[in-house]
Amino acid sequence: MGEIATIQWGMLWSAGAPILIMVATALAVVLVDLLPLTNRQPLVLIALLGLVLAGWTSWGYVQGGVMPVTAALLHVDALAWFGMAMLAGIAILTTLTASPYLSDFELPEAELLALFLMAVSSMMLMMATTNLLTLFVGLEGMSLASYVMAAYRRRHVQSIEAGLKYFVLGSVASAFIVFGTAFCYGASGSLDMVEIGRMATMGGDAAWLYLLIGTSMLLVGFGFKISLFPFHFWAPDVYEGAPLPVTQFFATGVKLVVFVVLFRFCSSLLIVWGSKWEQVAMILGIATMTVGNLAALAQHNVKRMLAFSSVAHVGYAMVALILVPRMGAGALPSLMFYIGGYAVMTCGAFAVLSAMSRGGHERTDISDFSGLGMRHPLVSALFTLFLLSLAGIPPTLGFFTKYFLFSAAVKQGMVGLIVVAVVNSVVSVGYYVRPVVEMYFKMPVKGTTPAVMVDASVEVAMPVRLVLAITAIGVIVGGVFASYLIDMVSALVV
Amino acid sequence: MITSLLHDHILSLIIFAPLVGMALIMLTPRKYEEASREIALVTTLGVLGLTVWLVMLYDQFNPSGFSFVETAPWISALHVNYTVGIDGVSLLLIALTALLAPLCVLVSWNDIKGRRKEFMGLLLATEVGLIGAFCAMDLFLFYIFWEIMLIPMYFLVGIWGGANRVKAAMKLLIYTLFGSLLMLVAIMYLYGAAGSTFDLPSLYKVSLDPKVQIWLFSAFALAFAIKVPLFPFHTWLPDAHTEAPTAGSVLLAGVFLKVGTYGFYRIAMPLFPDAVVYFHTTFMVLSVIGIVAGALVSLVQPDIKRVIAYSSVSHLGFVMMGLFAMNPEGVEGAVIQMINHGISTGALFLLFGMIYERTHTRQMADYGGIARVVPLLTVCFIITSLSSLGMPGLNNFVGEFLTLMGTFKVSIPLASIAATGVIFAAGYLLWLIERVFFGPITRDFNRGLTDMRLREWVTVAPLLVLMVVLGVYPSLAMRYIKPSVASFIAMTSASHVSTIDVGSEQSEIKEMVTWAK
Repeated sequence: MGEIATIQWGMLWSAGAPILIMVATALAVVLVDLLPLTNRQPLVLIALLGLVLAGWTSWGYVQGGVMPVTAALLHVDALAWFGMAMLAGIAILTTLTASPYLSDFELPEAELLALFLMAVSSMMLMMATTNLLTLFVGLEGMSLASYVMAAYRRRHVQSIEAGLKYFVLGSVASAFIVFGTAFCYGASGSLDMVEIGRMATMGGDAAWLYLLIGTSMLLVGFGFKISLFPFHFWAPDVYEGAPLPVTQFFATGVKLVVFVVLFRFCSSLLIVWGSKWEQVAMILGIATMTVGNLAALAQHNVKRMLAFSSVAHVGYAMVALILVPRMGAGALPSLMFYIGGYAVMTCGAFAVLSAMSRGGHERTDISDFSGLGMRHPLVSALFTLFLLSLAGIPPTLGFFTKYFLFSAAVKQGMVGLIVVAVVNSVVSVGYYVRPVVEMYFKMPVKGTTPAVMVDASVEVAMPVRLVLAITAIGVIVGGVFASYLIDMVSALVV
Repeated sequence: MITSLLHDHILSLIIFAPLVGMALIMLTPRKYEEASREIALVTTLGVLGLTVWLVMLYDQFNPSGFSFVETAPWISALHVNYTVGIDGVSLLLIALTALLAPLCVLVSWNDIKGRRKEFMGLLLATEVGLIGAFCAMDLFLFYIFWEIMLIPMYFLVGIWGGANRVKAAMKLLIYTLFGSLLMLVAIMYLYGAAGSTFDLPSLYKVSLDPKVQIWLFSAFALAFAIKVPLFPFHTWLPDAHTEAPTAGSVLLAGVFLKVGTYGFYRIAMPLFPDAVVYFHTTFMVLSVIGIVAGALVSLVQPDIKRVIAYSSVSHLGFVMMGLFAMNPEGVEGAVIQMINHGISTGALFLLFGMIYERTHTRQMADYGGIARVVPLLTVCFIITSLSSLGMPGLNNFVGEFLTLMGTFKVSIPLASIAATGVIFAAGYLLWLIERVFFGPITRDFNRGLTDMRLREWVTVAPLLVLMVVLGVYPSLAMRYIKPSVASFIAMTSASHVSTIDVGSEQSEIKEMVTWAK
């Protein structure tokens, strides 16, 4: 406790600046909302400004090669800053998608934005620490905000269901995490991940047993958050019920952050599992991708399909975690590239869904896409691009992210695992291609298509257009010029 | 300076020129959609012109190994380079593609009425993938082009195809992707095992453990066998060929399938010679089954396009048989058969497309006696059919004869069974002609059909000329193939294929072979 006196507060403030910027922005949004404004656009602008600032700061730290700062239960290193920058980018895309949605659906902007920004700041905190209790604080900040955001459409029963389900199940998961933390602390006497990992080798048998139980519980809790099998059952219902921008954030931002946390676990805590980690992770990963893909095949609702697709992609991303015992930090570039690429594609896909959902109705059933190719050629073409990228078809970004990850695994000799992953990819084409078939191969079904979309002159909102443009360019250019991106993430390992 | 620029980068120009056409088409406003046809035609003719120039340039070289090689780093972190180059075989296949593309545009001139922009754009995109696949010397690049050509074809079949198009397109997509994704795993493994390189010439020099070779070869062979298609992986083809629009069928049968056989020729077989030995009998037997079964099934089809589709299975069986015979006659026959089949079956689909434009039915029962109404079209169709069934004097005879001879040296029983495929080919094609063109006119509608127009003459004339020229003077094409085949056999010659000593007959056969060359 005497450490507090020796903390370099200056360094800490600047290292943790992104987190503080986010908190400040959230407060600013709440305060500005009190003013008598004609519309709520300024709130969105404030949020965007804060996010841009936070992202720019953290990216600057990454590029500048700033030394990690460890103090006051924080550990802010290049991984943390990179994650913060990516999270800020995802959050910007989400805010842009949310803005027209909120006005269309007549939902109050300030509360959602404030919750959202607080969630983002908590998530940044989660990535910037190796202390289990700080991690928990960040986790709860993220989770509680998420529960409310999921239920944000108060008059829509599915949204309330989503929020409630998420809350109840998420609380159970959080309980697992706390209990697991307690076991780890009891066994090692420390709350720091790295310290606990060290105890795994040094402590006695009893300590090892408690550590095993503790880390398993942590895995259960965090596995819930990323919808890893068998903790994924909440995902489809929550993703389907929550408002589109919120689902977009769950599918991208939350997964990014928890994967970063899990990566930190793999390098420290999960040493206690020894060689078993590979086997366990492999089983979980294969099960997740298979269940995700098979379930997605049966879906009629595109939002639900994207939820299951998100589960499947978690399965693929687990391959990176499986590689950590063998490759150590070398597995990080492929993980970050995969999650980052996946986030861009998914944001694009959800942006398309938002573009379709004007006028206060979410149009996410497969029949809503009938003949869209004729009425909205550009939106349809972009949706096709995102779906093909999610399926992993060259020369899109999705192919390169999968390739980079899978080839690293094959190089380590895990050919069987990759064959399973690849077969899963083929299966996934079956459901990714279904909206494409509906949009292009079928004529519009008269009488059942909502009037709003039949009128081709209905505009796609400007912010959504921006998101579509950014993500589309990302998917195409990121594919052809994958070299730069790969070099960028590889620099992380230094 | 322009000439040297063209000279140094001619392959890249040929590969990516259609993209320029695509960009122009995308920028054309919807009101002026018809202009997309002209843009596509000009683009494909431009590619053809560049290809002709390439052929003339190549003539002066006549080397072995790869020429016109261009290399540039692409993704250095993955050791992927953009390396393209050709030898005689790729040159001919590129020429085939470049020739068929403008013909596809011409035949779709009035046929495609809805969303012309997208159609022409997708056609050009397919051309990029096809030519790129034939030029690629980097395995990763080959894979990228392999996938690139699939997606536009999927859309071509699925949007502008026949009544059953959705199912046909899905089958095409999923079946091909299954093979190619397994091939991707093999590529990843090969990359690691060969010291982190994708460069094909370097990979040729790597020798791997035979067991590993067998697995890798299986993965590659599966992907290529689905494409060829080799029995029993052919089930996607009849649906795809039948339901595709005419231009799609021409490109599918004419070029698409050849990328599969080219894959065997360029990649699967030279890289894994021990595996080729291991699987030798299997592939020969499967090819022969394909030849005979494809022909027999063709006989009983009521749908004209399906007859032609199954005939492709049969003819490509000859190609595979020749490739795996692994002697000069067999392989040269296989390669020339690739080209010839593209020309003949491409022409068959083109001609049938013209008929379909007039009658809008594919069922043979709806035809009969139309020779009286459209005599010129009948003549063209008959010439093409005779070429397809392998009549001496026309192009397919050369390929079929050489492959049979090559197989005869390896296994007399297999060659004899395969030869019956020629008889069955005559069977289904001549019977088709009889039922469609001769006999009494059974449908009144058919009385009012118009004969060939100028545009249609321009479409088939080049192919008809080639059929005759390559039938009478095949060495025009063979001389490009010979050096390439020689190095192919050398690379794959862990081969131990025994030649059967047929004594004095060998000298007679040698004389015939000299004539053919």
